[in-house]
Amino acid sequence: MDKEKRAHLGSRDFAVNAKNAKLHAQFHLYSGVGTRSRGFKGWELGRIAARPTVIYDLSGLPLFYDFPVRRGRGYVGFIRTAANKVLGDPVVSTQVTPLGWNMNAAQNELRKLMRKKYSKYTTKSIKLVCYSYPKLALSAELVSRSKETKTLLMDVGDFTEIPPEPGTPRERLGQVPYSLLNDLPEEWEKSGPKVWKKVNQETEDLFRKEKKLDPTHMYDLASKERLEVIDQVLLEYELIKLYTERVLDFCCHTGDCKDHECFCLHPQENNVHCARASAQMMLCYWRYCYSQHEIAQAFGAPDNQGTSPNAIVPGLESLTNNCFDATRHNTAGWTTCENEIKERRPFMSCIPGHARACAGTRKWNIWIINQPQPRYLYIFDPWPPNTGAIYWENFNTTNYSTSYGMYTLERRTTNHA
Amino acid sequence: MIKKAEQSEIERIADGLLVNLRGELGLPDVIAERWRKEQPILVKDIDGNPSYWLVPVASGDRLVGFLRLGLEGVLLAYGRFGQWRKLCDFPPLSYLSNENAEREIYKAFGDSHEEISPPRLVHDGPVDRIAWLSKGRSVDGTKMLLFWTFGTSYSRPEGEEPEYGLL
Repeated sequence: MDKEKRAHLGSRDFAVNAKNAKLHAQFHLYSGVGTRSRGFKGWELGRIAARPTVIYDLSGLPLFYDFPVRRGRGYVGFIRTAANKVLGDPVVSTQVTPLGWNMNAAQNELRKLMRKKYSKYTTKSIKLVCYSYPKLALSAELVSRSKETKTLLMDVGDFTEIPPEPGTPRERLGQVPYSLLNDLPEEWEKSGPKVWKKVNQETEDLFRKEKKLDPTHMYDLASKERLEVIDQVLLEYELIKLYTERVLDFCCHTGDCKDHECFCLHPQENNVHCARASAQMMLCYWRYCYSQHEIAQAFGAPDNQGTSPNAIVPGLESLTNNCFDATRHNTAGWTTCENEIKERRPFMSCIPGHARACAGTRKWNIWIINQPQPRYLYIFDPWPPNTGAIYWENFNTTNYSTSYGMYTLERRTTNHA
Repeated sequence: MIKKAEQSEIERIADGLLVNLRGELGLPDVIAERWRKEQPILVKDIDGNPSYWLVPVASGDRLVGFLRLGLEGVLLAYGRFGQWRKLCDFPPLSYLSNENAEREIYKAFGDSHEEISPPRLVHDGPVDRIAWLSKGRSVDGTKMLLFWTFGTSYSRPEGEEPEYGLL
């Protein structure tokens, strides 16, 4: 769309008012809760903020209304709705985690940047813009004494100044600012508003008919009662069939994982690579792909020498870019082993001089009286070299190391230093 | 003191266990249907002391799985070699034969060592590190331990502190 054609997108025919947008956000929250979509757990207690955050397109037109969802004292996410009918579906996306950036911090950094580089300019206006979907920036319109104007763009996440080179997303990846409205195919001018109006009509009709969905009424109900109301409405309108959800778990295989091993065996490549091969298996499970040579380097040892037990924790953490906490357990107690597997975390199991990966546990619930309860670990052993072995190992009879019994890996939060 | 079982007893125990564990070795069905138990092998430690029984499980001429039984017949571990789906990818059964091991050790060390003893199946340190071991003498007269296991060979001077994967 060229600039002149785009200009009419700012007309009433295309603009969405915030009140309508809020209705869509509310319905989307109910749908997510009612269909038990991943990430919406507990959102039946969520409240959509009264006023949205308006996000502008680089063309200057409103692009999105972001409605934060509050639960208790904190925000659990936000629902992004369209501020322009050309986008079609009223709800663009839902973030089911809290906002990853802070407006106050971003505004402070913008002021610092202006003082440092643009002290000769005054600020006409500051807006929150989407400069390269979905990245956001603060956009400051600056004017100098000589009436020279300038637009300063600063990313709200990492506070970097965005270079003013115009471009299209297909030309380059990265921080290339472009107008999303400009970039839409021309046919969306007709199809977008059609879709928007249809969905809007259906949503308005639903709320008009089902007074019990009114948020002011819902907020008086307890969680269980809210869920019952939502379930009942969704079932009545057969809206529950609208969602088919498939979320990837720790398996990139197609089909049912019952017919194959979901944990990969990596045999060791020489006679001293057992700790590196075991680490390789654990990291591979978490989708970190390294060679045994790279892991040896991270563990601070040449390929032809063994690994120091003290090097494994810092080595594992560095290989995950500190997104995981590695822990050394002097002894490998059964309860710890079982808990790790229950939490879907493979671990490194060590016997004196040798390391293996463990990806399962098994215990008998009925056994011969006066005998120890049979318990087994599912071991992925990197020995023999270039072959490896997978077996159930009798936990009761195996001599595990008492100074480095096991190493575990647990994911940290997404806010890593 | 552990009461050691005779080889015939170990065979009987292995037969009984494999009936129940047949589906649990984790082998692909087409391979598991045709597996068979091979003769148990007494695995010793480096010093020659008996350690445990290894009962190989084969399919065709391939080594696909194993049972590990204690000297008294207690089940220590059971499973498969590798993680392949095709039989041809599994290691050859000959990897556990004396003749093959002797040939491989001579191939790996024959040029640089002499007085190479017949190999025996041991575990080099940890119980799962099975390897064929021969003793020999290097050209400078050093007594050496010569290892060969599943296509990999390595050695170290006799009496030297072994360097395993985990120090």
